[in-house]
Amino acid sequence: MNKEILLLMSCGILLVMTGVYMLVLYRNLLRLIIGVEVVAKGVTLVFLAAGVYRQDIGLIQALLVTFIIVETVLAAIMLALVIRAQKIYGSLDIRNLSKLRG
Amino acid sequence: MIQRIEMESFIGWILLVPPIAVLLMPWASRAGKWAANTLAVAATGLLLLFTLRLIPAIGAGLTFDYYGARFALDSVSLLFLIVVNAVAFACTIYATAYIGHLGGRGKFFALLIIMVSGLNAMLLTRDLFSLYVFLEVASISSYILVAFGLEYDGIESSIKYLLLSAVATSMILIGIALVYMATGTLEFDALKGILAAQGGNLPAIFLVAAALFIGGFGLKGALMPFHAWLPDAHPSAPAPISAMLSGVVIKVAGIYALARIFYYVFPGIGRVYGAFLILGTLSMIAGAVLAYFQRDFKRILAYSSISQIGYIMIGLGLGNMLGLIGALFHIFNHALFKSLLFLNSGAVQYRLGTRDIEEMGGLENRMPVTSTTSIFGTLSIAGVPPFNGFFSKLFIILGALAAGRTTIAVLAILVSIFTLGYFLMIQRKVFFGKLSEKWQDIREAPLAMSCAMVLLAAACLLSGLFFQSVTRGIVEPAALILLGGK
Amino acid sequence: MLLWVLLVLMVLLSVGCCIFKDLLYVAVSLATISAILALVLFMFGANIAGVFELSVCAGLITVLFIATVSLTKDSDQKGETRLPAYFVPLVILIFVGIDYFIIQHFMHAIPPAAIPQPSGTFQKVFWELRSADILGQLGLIFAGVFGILSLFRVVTKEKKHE
Repeated sequence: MNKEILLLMSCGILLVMTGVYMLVLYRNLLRLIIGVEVVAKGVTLVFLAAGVYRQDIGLIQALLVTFIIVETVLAAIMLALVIRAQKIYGSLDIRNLSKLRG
Repeated sequence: MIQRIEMESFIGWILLVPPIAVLLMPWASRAGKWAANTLAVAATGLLLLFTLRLIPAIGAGLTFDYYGARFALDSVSLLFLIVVNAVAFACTIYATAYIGHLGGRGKFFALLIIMVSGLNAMLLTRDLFSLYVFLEVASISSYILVAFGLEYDGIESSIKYLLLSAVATSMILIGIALVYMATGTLEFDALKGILAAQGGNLPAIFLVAAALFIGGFGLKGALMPFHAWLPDAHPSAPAPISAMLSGVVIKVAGIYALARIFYYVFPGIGRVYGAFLILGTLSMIAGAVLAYFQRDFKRILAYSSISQIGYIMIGLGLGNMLGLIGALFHIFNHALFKSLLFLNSGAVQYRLGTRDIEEMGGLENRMPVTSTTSIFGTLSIAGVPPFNGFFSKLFIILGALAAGRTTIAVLAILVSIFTLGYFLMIQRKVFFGKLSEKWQDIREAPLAMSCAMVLLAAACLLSGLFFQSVTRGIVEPAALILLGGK
Repeated sequence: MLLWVLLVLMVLLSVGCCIFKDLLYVAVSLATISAILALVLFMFGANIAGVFELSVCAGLITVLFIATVSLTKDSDQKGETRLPAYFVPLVILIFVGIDYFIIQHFMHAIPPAAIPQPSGTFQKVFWELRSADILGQLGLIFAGVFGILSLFRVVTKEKKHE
């Protein structure tokens, strides 16, 4: 397994970890959405690494295109929810959403 | 020969009816309330009809090719398909009356049908990545439906549900990428073949992928400790959506995926079954205990869902025939009685405007249908014969004893008694007792809602009375397919 | 060599997303990460995926995000804690350590690749082999459309009877 694939994989995992860190520790709703997007970029890199290793770029491209569409719809829905949440609360602090206890 | 061809085309119809219904929905909703209602009920009714027509195809797998997309049906998928479409039909009937006070009738039905079609397609696909794509379709529809009421409750819990799910899907995707890297294919049957050729000695990468799958799909299925989104999301959603979520979505998205991957595709990883047992026992106990301290009717039901999912995971983790039959039958039963209970709570909330059980009381005189069906649901979930819950829990306990796990069997019995305890407490607080003056003028739930509840209650009783035919006919072939992969 | 530079840049930008105070800078960092990712995809021959990544993620999502930021402008930003931002450099080093550890194990865990059997060009794969995904995407787009319509609807309660 050559260096490039390892590099892609490691950066992918790093981005995923950074994204999860943002999701866990930040409170501003918009930054949480950025966290989700960063995780998505990391996952894309991991898929690319898998595709290069298997030398089957065509299949990986198809998977990635589908994944990008999923991410876009998800981002649109998340942003719509944040806009509505802000209209009700007047603030984007996720601490305000602590009326409900998990 | 002609019969077989007709059978296969039903799979195509199951996939085709939802898009047609969704495309027609805007016009129907513009035409009026009744047009939208009829379209939605007809769509889900047709789906249920086609699913039931597929039952004779048990045993022999059916495939349906569509320009290269391969959809296949086997007994496991059929069991879940029946569950999904039956509960969806009941919830759609219920929703025709419930949606009035939320507005957006056409959009609600469209999203509900999209969610059901996502779940159906997820059950019919034979490919890991397509499994993920259809899971996302169903999940995104469910995020929107949870927030549909546009009240603070719904939007909050939808955002939390969404964020946790994003983490779950990233875990699932990395798992899929690792599996692809190790094997070069994504199809279930091809993967099964490759692993059988390995001879049971799996490289370490599969354990990593397995851990990621358990985490990701476990979160979708509200397994402890990944359950944090469920007690907020299920109460805040509109009642028919809570019923669908708790009764159907967490089962298909979580349990079906785990069962398919760890019994059919990667059978025999002992540590995975151990993990199922541990997480299942944890869910079972913690869900029941936490349910006891709640005051919100739907929140109690949500925690009890976590507890029942624990039972199912224990059944799956046992690995023997009895345990699998118990788990699969419990999936069927829990979908029926949990959605019934959620619809009951929705009817109570619709009339009373509150979910706090401390404020209720004596409703049995004013809401007889709701009260009676609620008793049916309570007896089913607590495992009282002749209702269906008794038999599925019995199978799981017997399976635990057969596998030598007596502690788990004892714990299961104890939790079952505890479940009976707190559900009877709920019944007493909500329905029995003295009627407070606030509720003197309350009427019974609207006709559509009552019909749906009666349907589900009848199903609970009938599948309990005739549990032999249900198990022999539907559950056992599914268990055989799952075990046959071993 | 170019790959190293691009990927390190991507990681630094993701750290920047954590650190920057102004959400506009965060959006631009995300867009740049997407652009670099598209470049990496092009480098490995995934042309169509790169085009999608560039146009959709670097373009559409950033535009949506900036639109949301401006729509939610009048909210209180003071409550935002800066604590996670201060921890970021330390945490990133820990993550790199964990990452290195994982990759070391990783090298031995994957079985060697069998003879590669490429599935064909993207067109063939996308439209024929994975046409089930196309159905899924249609479902997603419909769900998204109806979702946005539902979330932004004006709630007019139909006559509620008591």
